[in-house]
Amino acid sequence: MTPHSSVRHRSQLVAYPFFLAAAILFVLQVVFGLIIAAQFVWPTFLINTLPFNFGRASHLNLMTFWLILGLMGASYYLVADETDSEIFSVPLAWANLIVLLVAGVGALSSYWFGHIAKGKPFTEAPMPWPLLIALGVVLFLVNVFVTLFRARRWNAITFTLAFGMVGLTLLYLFNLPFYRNLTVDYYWWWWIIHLWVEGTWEIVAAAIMAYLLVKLTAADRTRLAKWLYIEVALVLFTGIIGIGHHYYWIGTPRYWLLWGAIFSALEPIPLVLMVVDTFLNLKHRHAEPVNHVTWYWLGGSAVGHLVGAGVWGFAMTLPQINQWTHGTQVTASHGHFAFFGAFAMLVIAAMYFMVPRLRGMERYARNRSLWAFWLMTIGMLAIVIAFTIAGVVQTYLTRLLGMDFMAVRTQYVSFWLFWVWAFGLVLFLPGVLVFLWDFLAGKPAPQPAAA
Amino acid sequence: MTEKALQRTFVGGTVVFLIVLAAMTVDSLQKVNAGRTPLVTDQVARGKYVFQRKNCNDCHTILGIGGYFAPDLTKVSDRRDAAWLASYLADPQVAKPGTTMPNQRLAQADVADLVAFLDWVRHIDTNGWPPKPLASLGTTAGRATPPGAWQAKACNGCHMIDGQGANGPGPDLSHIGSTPYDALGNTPEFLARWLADPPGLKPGTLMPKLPLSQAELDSLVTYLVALK
Repeated sequence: MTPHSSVRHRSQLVAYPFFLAAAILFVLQVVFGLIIAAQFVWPTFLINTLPFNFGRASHLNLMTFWLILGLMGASYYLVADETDSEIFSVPLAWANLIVLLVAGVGALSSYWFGHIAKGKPFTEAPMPWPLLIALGVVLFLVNVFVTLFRARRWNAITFTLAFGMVGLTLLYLFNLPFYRNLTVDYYWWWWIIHLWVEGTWEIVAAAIMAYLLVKLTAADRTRLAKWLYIEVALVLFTGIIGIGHHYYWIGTPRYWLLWGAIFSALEPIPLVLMVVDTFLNLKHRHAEPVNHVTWYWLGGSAVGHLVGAGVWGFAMTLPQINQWTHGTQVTASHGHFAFFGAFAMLVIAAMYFMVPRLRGMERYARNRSLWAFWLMTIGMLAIVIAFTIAGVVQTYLTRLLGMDFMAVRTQYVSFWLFWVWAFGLVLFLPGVLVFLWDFLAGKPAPQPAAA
Repeated sequence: MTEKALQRTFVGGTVVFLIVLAAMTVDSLQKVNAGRTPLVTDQVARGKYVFQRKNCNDCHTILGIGGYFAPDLTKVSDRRDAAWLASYLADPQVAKPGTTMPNQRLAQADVADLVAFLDWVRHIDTNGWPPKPLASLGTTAGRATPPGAWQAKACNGCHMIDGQGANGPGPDLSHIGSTPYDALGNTPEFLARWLADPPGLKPGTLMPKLPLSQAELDSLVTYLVALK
């Protein structure tokens, strides 16, 4: 670590290894994404060493891991700052990190070398790794909660952060049993997947976003706290019953078609509020030296969150449309856009604010950082467009015209997945590598002229 | 509203919505277990375990959820009968040469369990998903439109007609009505017997015995003999 960091509390430095692990796993996630995209184009590529299903499991799990580690690193950093106290235990934070890394390496090894899994997308890790993952998260919760209770400094940011973190941990427990009935299994699986990404993760993300807004704009705290509560309340009030858009076709009763459609149609509302809120704050920038790069990522996240989750999600959420698009690449286009916009960009924004300080400087020079931003953003946009076209073509040919799935996949979908692969290779991956380089070797920005 | 009041609204409202979801969950699961899904036998549960262990779901979708890399398995046993599925699962290359599905090296008992699981899945009440295609594929001028069974049984996954469908392992059927294939007959009577039980007529053929109703079988025969 650097000799003199510009953080207020020494224990905040423990955020650094979390971010470092997250940044490296992010690169790996993209590498696995490229491999499985290539398998659409060249189906026998690595077919025996890393079949598509285990490549996809790696891609999905690495994403979950790096985002969670990033959110945890940001949480340690901001909880110390917001409570104006040291983190309860730095060794415990290290234990938290190491347990999760061991679980992650264990899960990936099970896929690569054992070709075994627990078998549902995103939660493929076979026993005993889910137990270790749960343990790692519980260690994190203990550390954060003891810190918060000792300091007795609850505010809107720490409250919502803790609320979201407890929620996402409890939901993960639904992953532990083996369910005999597939419909029941998927019923609870959606409590994890949906109530994570359209519930608890959004709460955590909103808290971190609010923190970054305070830091960058010196916005009025009371006003910001009120906005935060309204946003997270609307996220859950629409999102909890909005889970119904996953219960249309899996064997659950027909009334979910109505409930799911109504509530999920309302889900974009808090996202619109969030974008308005963010850009209103942007106007209230304070005299404090502006961290431009963080602003780019934060604004990008707000917009990407709204378009990727809100617009792309809404486009396929009504049952009349979803019956055709369900189970096609349309879902993949929404998944990539939403995860990148809502979570990846936000975690990167947090890193661009926190990592320079953890390395002993105010902020990074912007030149290289903006390369990372534009390469990744344009790259992801191009990838999403290719996925969307693949999905629409696939929906039309297989669902509306009834062509054979494999004929469409090999003759039509593969062409658009080639572009997913190509844009990933020449735009997105270089962006991620520039980001990693910047993370490790970013230079301090020159001091601005005295205001 | 004050910050405190908004916080209370957030927490209180969340609790209310969670209670609503919990009530709907109790009702949904009760209905799922009372007829919307068939009874789960031990064999079906073991098959589901194999399905998960081999991570089938990250290539195939089932109930529309999964990898988008390989066909959806929700209604697979509508398209293929148990014997063919078992031979395919035991060694995909033998049942369908050239397929990119990797051999999962399954024990014989696992294969049987998996087939039972896939047959169980077919009977889940999915509110009509996947929907029937809206239109049939366009055909060359003067050609009849393929009957619903042609698409529903995924005949085009192995056979090609007028350049549409898979180029093998099954023969191109564009002219099956005028040119018999492989010394097999092409009369309506023979084709009807053939479709009813291909391995019975020609042991060792790759063509599976398809689960066909009499009406489906008739529609296919009428269609095929007209392909001159």
